[in-house]
Amino acid sequence: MLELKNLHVYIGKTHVLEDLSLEVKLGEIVALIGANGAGKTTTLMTISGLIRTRSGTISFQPDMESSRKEISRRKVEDIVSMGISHCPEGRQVFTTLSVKENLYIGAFQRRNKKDIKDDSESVFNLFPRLAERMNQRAGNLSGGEQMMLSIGRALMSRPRLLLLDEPSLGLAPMLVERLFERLDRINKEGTTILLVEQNASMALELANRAYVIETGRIVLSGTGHELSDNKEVQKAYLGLT
Amino acid sequence: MELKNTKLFFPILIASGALLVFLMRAFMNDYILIIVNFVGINIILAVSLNLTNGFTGLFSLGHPGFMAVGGYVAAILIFPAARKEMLLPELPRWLAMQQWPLLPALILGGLCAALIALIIGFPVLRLKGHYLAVATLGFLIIVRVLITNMEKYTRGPLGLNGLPSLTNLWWVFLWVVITIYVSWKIKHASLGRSMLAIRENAMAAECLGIALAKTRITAFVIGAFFAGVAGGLWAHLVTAITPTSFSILMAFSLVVMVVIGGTGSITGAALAAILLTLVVEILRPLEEFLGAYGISEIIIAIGLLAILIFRPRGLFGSSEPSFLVKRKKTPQGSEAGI
Repeated sequence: MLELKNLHVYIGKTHVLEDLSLEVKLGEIVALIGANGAGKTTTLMTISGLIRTRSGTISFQPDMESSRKEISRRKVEDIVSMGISHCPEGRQVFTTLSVKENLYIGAFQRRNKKDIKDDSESVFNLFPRLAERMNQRAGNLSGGEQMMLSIGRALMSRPRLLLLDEPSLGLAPMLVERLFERLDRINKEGTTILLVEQNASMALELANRAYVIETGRIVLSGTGHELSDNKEVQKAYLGLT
Repeated sequence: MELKNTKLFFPILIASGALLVFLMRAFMNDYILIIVNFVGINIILAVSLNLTNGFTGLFSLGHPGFMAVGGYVAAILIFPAARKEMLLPELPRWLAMQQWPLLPALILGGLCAALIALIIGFPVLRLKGHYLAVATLGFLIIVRVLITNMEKYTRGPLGLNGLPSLTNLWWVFLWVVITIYVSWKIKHASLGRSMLAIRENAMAAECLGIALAKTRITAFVIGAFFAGVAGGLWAHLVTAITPTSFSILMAFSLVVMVVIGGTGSITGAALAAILLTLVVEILRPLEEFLGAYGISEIIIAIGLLAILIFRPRGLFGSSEPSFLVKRKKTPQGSEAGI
């Protein structure tokens, strides 16, 4: 579905991603784990078009019927309309707008009012808390609620592929667990997910496959279980010895 | 029931506004009528500035520049051909022969302002915050310098005087209604939401597929259009127009209106425009009586400080009064967690 090949990305003069390749297949949850500054967020931003590549290709195929397209030179808004939705790091809700308005902005590119309403209903189904807070200002929500809103908002563009950047950031462990259950449900309902996480143990448990990124390169890849059994990964990311 | 009220509210408001205009024209003296006209023009300016500064969060000080463009375009088009020969003998022949009625001249003035906003928007709107403010201030100064030096068309620093006094309360009222209606529609449509989203968090807005540059320029261009129209109305109310008419002070007082009203609130901007215009007029006799000119500016500045300290989001924040916006009741109470 999504294939990154030999990506080189610079931010200013810093060579952030060096020859990075990875693949996400239709229907999967793929986790990208790594330390701070390894290039996880940059990878997502490159896919969604917020950062340009120096070289390398990104190809995307929304589903089996449609054709593969090279997207590394496309505009952000085109990439969104092709079916990739990026839920950025750190909640980033529109604080002075209501929950409902936040969701509707997520459906910015769509025009069919009924579909948008149906989708907001299904977001409310997924996160009932948001329904209760529908008319409240997003800035008044708790951290966990803002995260749900941020994910719900990203779903409003009906993405085929959801890019999630650190959804567990700053959430209590119990909330993280529930949130990951919801991610699983989103995935089961047909959205492919590429997940960037520092919380490696949760991410590896959820993901079908995972990549480990270190200083801009992929150093390891495998199924979630393979990686969580890997000695190196255990030592570096899971805190086990 | 609530929905019905909201739907009826606007026609009722417009009708009562029209009735008020009718009564004022029948019973008020000219001095008061002129002040009411200024109130209306300031409403147009504040509400349209609110599109850029309020909704989209682009801090522009260039509004009087667009007014100047619209004002001069309308003035040159409307000016009687016979007088143009005297006042502007060097005007190109095709332009000297024009003698337009008010409405199309206003619209063309607005369109010219919008076109200029479109052209300067591409480079200028790449800037943010105070950089943008400085750039738009620069634009305002450039417009004034150009007008001063394009003597063939503008009579330079002398300006154009003896413009026909065409602006009356009906025209102003019409444009107030159009301006408010258009911004209201924008605010409650996906365009307005995307503007607010950009103001709140440009990066997140971009992630959701909102085209930043396009939306920003749209806001800037629409705001400039109404500023241009207001400039035309202003010129034909004052019946004179000079390069100094559109000053930095004016830019400042328009921004104050938006800030006091609440950045993003249409009602707030309109009420603040009414309030500020009236305060200045009411204080004028006091200034003359005390011989202390500038008191009104001081009082407005103090008022602004008080608002920024005690109500930093302005009188209305980003919202409109609740009786104008339909809202559904929210279900209350639930267990904690996700």
